[in-house]
Amino acid sequence: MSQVIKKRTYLFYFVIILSVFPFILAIESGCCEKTMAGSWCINGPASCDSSYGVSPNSCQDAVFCKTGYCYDSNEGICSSGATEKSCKEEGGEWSSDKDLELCQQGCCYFGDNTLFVTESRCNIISERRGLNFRFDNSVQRSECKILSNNSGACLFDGACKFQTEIDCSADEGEFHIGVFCSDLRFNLSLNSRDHSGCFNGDIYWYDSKGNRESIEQDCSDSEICRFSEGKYICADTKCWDEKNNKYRQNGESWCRYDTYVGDSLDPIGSEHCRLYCDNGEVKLDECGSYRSYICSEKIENGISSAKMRKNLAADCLNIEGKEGCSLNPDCRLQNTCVDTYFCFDVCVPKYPIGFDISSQNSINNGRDVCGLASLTCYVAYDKDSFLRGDDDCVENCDCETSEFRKKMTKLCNSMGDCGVYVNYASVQTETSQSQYYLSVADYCNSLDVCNGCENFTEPDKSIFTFMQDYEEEDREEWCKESKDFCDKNGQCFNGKFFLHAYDLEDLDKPNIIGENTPAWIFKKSLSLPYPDSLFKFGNFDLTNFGRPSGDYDEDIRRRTFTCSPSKPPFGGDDCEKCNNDPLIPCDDYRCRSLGKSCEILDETRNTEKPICFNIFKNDSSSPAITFKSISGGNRFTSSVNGVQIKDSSGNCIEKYKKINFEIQTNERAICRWGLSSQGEYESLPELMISDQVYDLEHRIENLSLSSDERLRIFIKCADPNGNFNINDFIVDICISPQPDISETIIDSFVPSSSSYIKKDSSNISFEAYLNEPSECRYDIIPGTSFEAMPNKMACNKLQLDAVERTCSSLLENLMPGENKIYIKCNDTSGNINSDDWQYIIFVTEQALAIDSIKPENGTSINRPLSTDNPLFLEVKTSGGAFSGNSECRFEFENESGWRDNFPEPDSTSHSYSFTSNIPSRDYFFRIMCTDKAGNTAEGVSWFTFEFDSDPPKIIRIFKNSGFLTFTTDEEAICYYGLKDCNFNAAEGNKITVDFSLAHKIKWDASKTYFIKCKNRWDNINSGCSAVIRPSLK
Amino acid sequence: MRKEEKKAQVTLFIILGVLAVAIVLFFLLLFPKIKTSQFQEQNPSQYLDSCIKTDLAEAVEKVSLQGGSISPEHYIIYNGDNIEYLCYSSEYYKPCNVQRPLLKAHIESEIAEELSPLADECLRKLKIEYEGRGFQASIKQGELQAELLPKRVVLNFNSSLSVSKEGSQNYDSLSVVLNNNLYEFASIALSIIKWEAAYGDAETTTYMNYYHDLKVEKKKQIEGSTIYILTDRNTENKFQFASRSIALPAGYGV
Repeated sequence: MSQVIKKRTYLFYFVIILSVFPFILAIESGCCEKTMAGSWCINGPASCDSSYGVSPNSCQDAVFCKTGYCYDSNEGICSSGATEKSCKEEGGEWSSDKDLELCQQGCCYFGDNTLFVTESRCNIISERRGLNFRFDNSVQRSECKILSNNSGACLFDGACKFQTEIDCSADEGEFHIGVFCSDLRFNLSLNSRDHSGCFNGDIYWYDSKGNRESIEQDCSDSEICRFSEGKYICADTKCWDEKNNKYRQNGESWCRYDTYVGDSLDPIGSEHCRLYCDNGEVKLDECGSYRSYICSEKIENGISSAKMRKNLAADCLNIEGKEGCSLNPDCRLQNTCVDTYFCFDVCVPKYPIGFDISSQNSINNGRDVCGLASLTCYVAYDKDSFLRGDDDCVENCDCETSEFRKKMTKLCNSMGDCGVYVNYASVQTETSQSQYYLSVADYCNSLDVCNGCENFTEPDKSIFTFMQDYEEEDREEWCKESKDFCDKNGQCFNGKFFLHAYDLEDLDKPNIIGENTPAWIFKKSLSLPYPDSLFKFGNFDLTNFGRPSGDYDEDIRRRTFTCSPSKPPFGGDDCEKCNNDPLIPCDDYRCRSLGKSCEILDETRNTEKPICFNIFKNDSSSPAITFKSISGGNRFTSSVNGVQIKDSSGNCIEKYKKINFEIQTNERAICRWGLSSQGEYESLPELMISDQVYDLEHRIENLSLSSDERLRIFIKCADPNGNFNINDFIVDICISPQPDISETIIDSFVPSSSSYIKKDSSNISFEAYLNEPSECRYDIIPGTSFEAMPNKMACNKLQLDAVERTCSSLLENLMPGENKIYIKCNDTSGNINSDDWQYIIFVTEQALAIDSIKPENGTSINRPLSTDNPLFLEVKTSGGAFSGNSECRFEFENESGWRDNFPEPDSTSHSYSFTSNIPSRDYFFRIMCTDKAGNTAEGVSWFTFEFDSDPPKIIRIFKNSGFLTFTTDEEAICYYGLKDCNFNAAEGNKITVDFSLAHKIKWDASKTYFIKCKNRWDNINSGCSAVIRPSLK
Repeated sequence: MRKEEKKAQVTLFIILGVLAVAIVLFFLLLFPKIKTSQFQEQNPSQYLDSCIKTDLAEAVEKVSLQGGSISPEHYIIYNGDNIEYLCYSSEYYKPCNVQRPLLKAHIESEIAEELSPLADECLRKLKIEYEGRGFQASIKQGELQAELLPKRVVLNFNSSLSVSKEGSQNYDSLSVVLNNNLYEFASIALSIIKWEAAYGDAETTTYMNYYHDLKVEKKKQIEGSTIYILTDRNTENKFQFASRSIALPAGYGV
């Protein structure tokens, strides 16, 4: 019994707690209208206050985060950028109307004071000060200034203050104009001219209680009062700009660049900063971290003024045409021309954005972006000449020369902090054999990229001119008008400035496409390694890029340049350089660019002066390497310098098998490997795979055992301080010396066999990955002998240094449905496949279709939306490559810009729910579906949503079978009270159990019923719906 | 009286004296807020002024350094101060949402809430002071209200004091005034926030050109936050607040 009571007591308390404290809703993504901490419109992960809105979308798309103007009628103050609830909750009036008259500001004159406020604020302030006011909304903020300053001694409560008459009257004091508090007649025992001080830029005397007295020294217009070396002086307001070796006027602003800017050559770690002269002192306004903001400057009458603006470099990678590139002031066309078929222009950032090398995100750390400049040049050799013992190159021969690396390095550098380059302290980044080409001296001599160079390109001023010429209000107005030109993120100012820059640019359109270069190379070249990357360059021809056209009688060799993020120099000797500039505070980006072991000292991170320091200052030992594991059941045994590897039976491993292995270091390190012993760490050509830049575990994957008898892998690992093992760690793999009698194995195809491609496609390029160097051919008829096969594939059979063996070709004249070819390969030992390898491609026969969209066109929805009863957007698809299975998304054409993917990634039926009420209006939306073969389908629909804000009405009252009966004009729940209409529905007596049109209650002539009704929208009568007194009859 | 008795009496007085000093010190240590206040029968506001003004100045300084809040909940730490975000977006590329649209009202309520217990204590002590001087005193206590006005912060007690001895006197407008630019700072902060919410940035030198006594510093943090520090060049009073708007990440990410 007592246990039951206990349980009930707990339950009671639980209910009480739930009702008192709002329920916390923890979200991982989406948007909280308000968090438990009281912040408004915060994206997940966050703890939402469940009494407020929570959206599955980001705050930017949530209706409840729409901002407007908030007016405080008690104070006459207006603020913008507030959400409706955040405003109303604090007692403000909210409006989305930008031109809200109550928010118009002007100059308020009251007494001797002026304020730039709203008219109602002017009224309120003046009233509180007991003064008349004048309000003039034609006066700008800059002109609304204090007109006079008639000060004097103000006596009150036995004390004195030197202030204006108006302020004195507010203190209810006795005012003596022009008299100081130390005046003997006041008998306050104050020492006159006790000390000096600054006021309004001049030096004044002050009495012993700190009241201002007469002027001690009137500083000239070009001077200002300042405390220096123990006394107040009139100091020059001009500033000495040490870097540019000149004086700057007070208020002048200018750009401060660390070193070279523009031409895609901004060194790693460099940032653009804006400085200004503030009363004789040069001060930093801001720096654009990672060069995400850049500084532009203009000079008029010898005075500079500078602005920081968003770097539009990200758009360069999305531009698909030469004109678009020329139109963006932060992009430039870069020509990379090595040979006839490897010659192209690409649109690259003029001021590349820096990367966060510590980030795990491959977009932020630059791996994806740098990878766009990893390209392969196909070099064609005369096959017969090779057989003759010569090695005659036929096409793209310069790709075999140093020119290839030199030009590709330049392209790589242009993408951002990519490839071998220099940091802002003019120190070269880590080098490697595969990337190294230019030395610091090369850069300094040929490009003037190092400190002290004057010849650089400043960011485009046309944008700056625009910003300067328009006042705040005009900007907002223009922004509104030019909404169509807003950028992809909806940031109006980007689009607007961007557009304006088009008009001002003197367009110089270079001829980007060479005669022999296919036109599409320009826009497609950069997407090579990332067909599905963020940048969405679309599908592209993988095999034909940079390849000579015609048949493939030649031997094709691939020369690949790998572009990866730049790595800081070893060690941390330069870390201190980041702390040396008194004006520019160090940040993570600048610090890390100076050395691998440079980091910001944690305790100084959020301070005015973050400190960059060498985290491995005393480390001089190299990483110790141990062998960890090997794949395929193979075994390893320790040797003098590393390990020996054999198969599980202790025999040598079969030739052309692929293996993976992993090593471990005793400290975080980067490891490189090569097939021959090298003295220096940087000389080893290949990087081992690790999860982080500096890691403890390092892997080599898919290593093809293509050598005879023995394959030796030489490994060196370097710690962040640059210490590396002098003696190579050697992985010695024993390979079976038996003669090669095995046929070629095709490991995989790209696109994979049995793939579907888009409807109406007539050709596709494909590539076969082989286990050994071979020559491959194909036919559409099965069983054809290798010699009789008519179609030769382009193979890298003779490329000795190739990591992967491939053959590729273009399949043409494809038919709808199945397309099958049969492939045979001939390896270097003359082993020809006895059986065909099949490769199948399906061309989609039926178009992808959207069968239905709900809500259907013109549907009217007039019910409340909730989690239990949401509005469903529903789409059904059919056809396409996979019987309608596809991925769909929607876009609404209303102000909120709702757009999202349907949750089902691969389905014929898609559903998305709207769980909270949306504003009353018509909603037009677009559905877009795509299947895995790339087939697309689109559809549109619209519906009307009507929000009911009226409470239900009682339309008929009568007596029926002893009951007082009444009906409402809509389904409702009704309540009654017996005293008056001032009762909460929750406290009243419920007449109707569920929503209904008809309601009845016992006919009782002794009572008066005060009735309120609530509809499904929770609209309830503020007073009564009806007051009913049943009669005795 | 014998010499020994005299000695004992002196010792007793010394002990009592030490005890009295110890008790006073004990109370002063235990209740540091208890201060000796100047009292003039005709001027109760002056008593309140001396009783609470230091605390008012401290509260004003505290809210000024913390973005307008006594205990910020959504803040960034900078130079050891917890600085509240007045405008915030956690996303990259997105403009911020204003967190305190009625900033002035918010600051006023923060100051009033912080000082309310102290104000009650001051009124109680004021009544005791009058009663100790033979007055009959009664206080009708209202809700403490802080008000930001140009160049000053006013603490209105909204309480009425009635004292009577030979005649009676009513004091209805009990208030304490602190000269401070918090009103001006709040309105500049609102203006900066307006720019932050629209463009993700505010031009600081413009404000300094308009108001020569004002220094506006902008401290950009690498994760996208901006700390604004407004300083009155004459008084060195400061107001700090934070914003995160249209933050841009490293690289070309989304």
